[in-house]
Amino acid sequence: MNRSKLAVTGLIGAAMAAGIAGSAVADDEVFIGGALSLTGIQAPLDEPGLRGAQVAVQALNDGGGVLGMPVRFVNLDGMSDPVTVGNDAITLIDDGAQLIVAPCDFDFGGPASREAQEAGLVGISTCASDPLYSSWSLGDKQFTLSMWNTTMGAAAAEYAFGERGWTTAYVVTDQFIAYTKSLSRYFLAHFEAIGGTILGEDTYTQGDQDFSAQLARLRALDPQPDVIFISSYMPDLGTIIRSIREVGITTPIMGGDSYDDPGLFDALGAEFGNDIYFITHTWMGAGAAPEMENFITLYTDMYGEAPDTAFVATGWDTIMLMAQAVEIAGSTDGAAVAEALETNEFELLTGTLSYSSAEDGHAPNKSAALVELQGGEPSFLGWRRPENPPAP
Amino acid sequence: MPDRRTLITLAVLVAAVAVSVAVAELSGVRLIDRVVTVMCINLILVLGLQVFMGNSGILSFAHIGFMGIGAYTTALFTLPLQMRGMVLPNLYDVLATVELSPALGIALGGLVAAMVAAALSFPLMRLSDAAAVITSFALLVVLHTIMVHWSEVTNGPRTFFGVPEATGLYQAAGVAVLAIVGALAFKESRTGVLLRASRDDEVAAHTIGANVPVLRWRGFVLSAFMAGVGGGLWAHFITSFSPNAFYLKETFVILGMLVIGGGATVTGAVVGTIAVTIAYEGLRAFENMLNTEQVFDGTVVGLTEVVLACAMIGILVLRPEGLAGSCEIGATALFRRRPQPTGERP
Repeated sequence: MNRSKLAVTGLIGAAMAAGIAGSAVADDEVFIGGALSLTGIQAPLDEPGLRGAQVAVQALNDGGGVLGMPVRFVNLDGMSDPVTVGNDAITLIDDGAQLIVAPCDFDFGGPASREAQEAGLVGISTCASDPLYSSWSLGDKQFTLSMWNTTMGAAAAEYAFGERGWTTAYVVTDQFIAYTKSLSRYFLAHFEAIGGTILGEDTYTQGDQDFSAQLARLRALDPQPDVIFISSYMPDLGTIIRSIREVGITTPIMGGDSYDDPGLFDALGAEFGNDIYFITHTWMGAGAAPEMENFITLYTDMYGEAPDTAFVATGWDTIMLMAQAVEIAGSTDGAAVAEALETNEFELLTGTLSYSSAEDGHAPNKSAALVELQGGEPSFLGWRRPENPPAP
Repeated sequence: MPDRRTLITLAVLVAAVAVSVAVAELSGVRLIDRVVTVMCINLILVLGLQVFMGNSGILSFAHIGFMGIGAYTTALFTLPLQMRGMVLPNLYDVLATVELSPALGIALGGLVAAMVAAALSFPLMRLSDAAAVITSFALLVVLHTIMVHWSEVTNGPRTFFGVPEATGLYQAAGVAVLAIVGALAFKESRTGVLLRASRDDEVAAHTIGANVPVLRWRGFVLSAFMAGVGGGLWAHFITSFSPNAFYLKETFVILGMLVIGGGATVTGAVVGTIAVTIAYEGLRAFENMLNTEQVFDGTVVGLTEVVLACAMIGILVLRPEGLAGSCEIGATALFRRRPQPTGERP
């Protein structure tokens, strides 16, 4: 190694040391650390959450803070890498973070929650919906803000069978990621448990961009199903729904929160975007939650434009949930905050939320937003809270 | 008896690992401890890649697939019995009652990876140049697809969790030292020397009687063994993972480390791993510092990716043979014509 390289290495080393040393935590503040990813494949889910969280922190501080103390929120880029997320969490905890915001996925959020658990702190993932995100797998102080996929699948099944009287369903499952597979499984289980009949199942793989084989099998069904449940995500989701509608099948289509994407509404337009119903986290407009208009105003003030996706609300909610739990607990002590979360019900932008005990996995008992797409325009149908979602 | 230059190389490279461990231990910062642990695991993977790629001259993309085999093998056999039903609901009955210690599990992971490599790679080793590279890439895709769909043992695309935490700084560093010894020993062995001859001139190597496919095959199997062990150590470090952890992103990280350091030498593998780790963590800390101190109005994002990518381009243009060049550290001018150092021991 020559001298210039040594100099560069020394410089980086110095920066590294400075970064690690950071600023010491003050006793008179509530320090929330985040490891949300701003780069890599996880960024589209985490970055909106971070924006929402920053709005929430400012709102809290403008209103006098938490327990009379200002809130400080520091997010270190998790870079869509589990090891880096864990390193971020450790850095923040060693700096004095009292609560941890974990990324929106079990693979990427788990390492942050595990470090929080080890340090005796409460960790909350902004929107991980896999039932793996539980106190069973992560520890008795770890939570996820999102409903589990069990709730999402069950809410869809109850709407279809209970409210609309659709007794037969056809299910298409994207095999590419875990989320779509587990969502289908829970819809199937609940639809059959409450008395519905599954006429058939088919698979699809993200990236195929060709739905003709599945379409042929669907058209061959006799009788035709009352509802088609498609568990996939953009961009291929748009292709699938277009293929179905283009051949004149007008059967209602249902799905989960991956439908909550302006890209899908544009792709379908007024011609194909009809009779589509999906379960998602919230509705970014009037009538969903009392705080929603306040949030949209504050968000627009901070970023100069209205929020474009419901995922921003999950970031706001995570911070507000922490703040409310800390107020109830009277401290930021991990055990006390965890108990406050387990024993109270919270009103959030993304619905009413309470958690089961640590023995029962911190299962979120949460209401789900039901949205309808007609003429390419989404509208809010209200909140649904399934009674007995299937076991994970 | 290995020659003096190889011994010096070994001593210097082991010393580099020892210094990293000492820094982590003396600093007392948990972050550095973790960073050095991951660096040692990456070092094992990079050395594994160097064993095949450096000596045969054939770029292999399949490496991280074998890392995945090692990780899933040890995870499967070390997962506590009471968790089996929860993590792997469809596990075969035969496997449901066996529980190994992490050390045995990691070793088994390496062996299974080596066996899979031995079975799959023999026909592939007849290929050279672009054909060999493309087939190795295809092999990575095949291994990934199997991991995603063999739900009985991998939990499919869902996360495999509950692997006992067993990899600490000393375990990772210890195995990294063994990997350095292994990579150097292979390079200087008869197989290694002949393999390098075939890399430099395949036709000439043939004429002196080298059976090139068999030589490559040996290198490939050893390389897969090291990848399997590295994967096992990583599994016991991170404790939960899905098949996506063993795919393109990790492939390019490991390949990048080797290319930046210099693929032809063991020294290059070590230098590349250490340099990339320092640069990555340094830039990350620098970026976080800029953001938390709010030096700029907005947030700085993606500095590590941009700078590392530029550094890679720069190195490929200015020093195509990598930072370490084409000789081992023990053969450089630094150690020529000097009395044998007495203070160092291999």
